[in-house]
Amino acid sequence: MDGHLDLLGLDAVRAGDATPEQRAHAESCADCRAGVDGFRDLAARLAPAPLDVPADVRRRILSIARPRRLWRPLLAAAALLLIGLSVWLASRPTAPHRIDIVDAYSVALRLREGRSIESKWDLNGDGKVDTLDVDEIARRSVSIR
Amino acid sequence: MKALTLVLGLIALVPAKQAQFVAVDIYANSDGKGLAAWQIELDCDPSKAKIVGVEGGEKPPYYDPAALQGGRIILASFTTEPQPPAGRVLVARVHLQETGKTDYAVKVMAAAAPGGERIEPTIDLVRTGGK
Repeated sequence: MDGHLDLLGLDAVRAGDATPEQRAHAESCADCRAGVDGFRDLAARLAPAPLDVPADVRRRILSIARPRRLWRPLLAAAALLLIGLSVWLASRPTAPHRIDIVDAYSVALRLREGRSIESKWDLNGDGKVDTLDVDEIARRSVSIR
Repeated sequence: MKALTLVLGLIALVPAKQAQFVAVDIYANSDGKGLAAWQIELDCDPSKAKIVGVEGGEKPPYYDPAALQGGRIILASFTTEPQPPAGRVLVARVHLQETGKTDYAVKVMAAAAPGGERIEPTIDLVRTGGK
């Protein structure tokens, strides 16, 4: 390199984009170092001062700039609903088959023989399974409603 | 006025639909096995026949009173006797008021042999009374 750095070279040194030769020259040459300093001072003065934007103004600007994602709360609600429905379905006791007269007969037979009977046949809810429940099973069997 | 009187007179002379009372006997045949429990459904056209009563064998079968005056009824009964009747058994008699020609349909909904084994008896109907 012969002679001083031109303006582009000075600015490259300021910006950190200079070649090793340009940097070495700027360090050894007082004129060029003064030129680089001048560029640095100018760049600092031209840089805009940071604006202190109030938080609510920033929020409003961002809400205008960003598209509102309305589907997100809807999706979340749907997911919650689906989870709730799944839990409810899983915890629900399985529906017994439609009651028919054979159920009444089986319960009556077990009563007669003194065998144990599942509490699900306590249809009248009186705490015991007896002939009243057998009648209730039979009545439900023939219901046409 | 005379014309109106004539029309009303003619209407009065036209015979109403002839209603007749009939009975339908329901037989179940469990093919040798005792019939410990049975449940059947009887259907007919309610505009042609209405159910007016039910009779059973030793004890009247279960049925929904709401079925009376309609064309559909579910009948059921059981016995815990160790040896219930077998073969062709008259299980119920249904009384109907017919106002027209109608077909009766019947199907087995449930049946069991002694002990609770589910079986499929055959059903046949015998209509008696009326024309």
